[in-house]
Amino acid sequence: MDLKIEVDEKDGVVLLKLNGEVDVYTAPKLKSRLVDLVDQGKFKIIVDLEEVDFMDSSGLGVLVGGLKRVRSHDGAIALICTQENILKIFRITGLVKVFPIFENQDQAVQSV
Amino acid sequence: MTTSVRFVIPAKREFVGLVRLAIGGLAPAMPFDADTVEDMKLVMSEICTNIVLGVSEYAAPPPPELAFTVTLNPSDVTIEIDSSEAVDELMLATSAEWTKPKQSGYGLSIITALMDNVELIPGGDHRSILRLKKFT
Repeated sequence: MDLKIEVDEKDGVVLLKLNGEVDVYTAPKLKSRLVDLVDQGKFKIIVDLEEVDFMDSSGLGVLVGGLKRVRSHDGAIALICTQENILKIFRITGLVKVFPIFENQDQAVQSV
Repeated sequence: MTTSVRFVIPAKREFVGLVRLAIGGLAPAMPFDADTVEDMKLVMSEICTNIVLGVSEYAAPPPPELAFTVTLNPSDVTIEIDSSEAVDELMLATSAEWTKPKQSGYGLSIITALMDNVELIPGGDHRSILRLKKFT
């Protein structure tokens, strides 16, 4: 029950690839990484959720917080996710209308 | 036939994942498909998160215990979360939110969307119960 975060950057777009579980214990790690990126002037971010086994509202809260931070700098956050169990919580909470969600990295890169 | 299993954990962040494992471990005994079991793991994660965060904000160390009982009935699976006194005060203080989630409360929206019935039963001796039901 850990969360691994890989960071990659290409053409000014940062890719955060998450692997593991995002809950009340691990979400602070994701928050810290997002805050660091914004502090470094990175405002175009893609979060890849394809290898996330579990996420609850702790993760949603961190992503919403990150979105607010980048938007204050005219930035954007896009998500990559095709897993139904993860997409479900975005639908229930209405966040599918807030985050652009794509099936692959190419689509996500174009959106930000 | 009814079967009950009771779990007790410290109300701390690092034990919320253990709650999900516990629910998953009961999957073979539940009359639900894998998706519904995943829903119940998510709901329990949300509830424990709410309590753990409240406890860390209000309760003095050591953290109180968080106890819940899963009862497998012929017509439903019922999860009852009961509490120590410290947790109880938090649950009562937020009782309206358990049954009428606010738009801003992602966790509460998830809980009420995925369970068939959610109710807080105030106790007379500082032992309130949050009862969740999923019908078969």
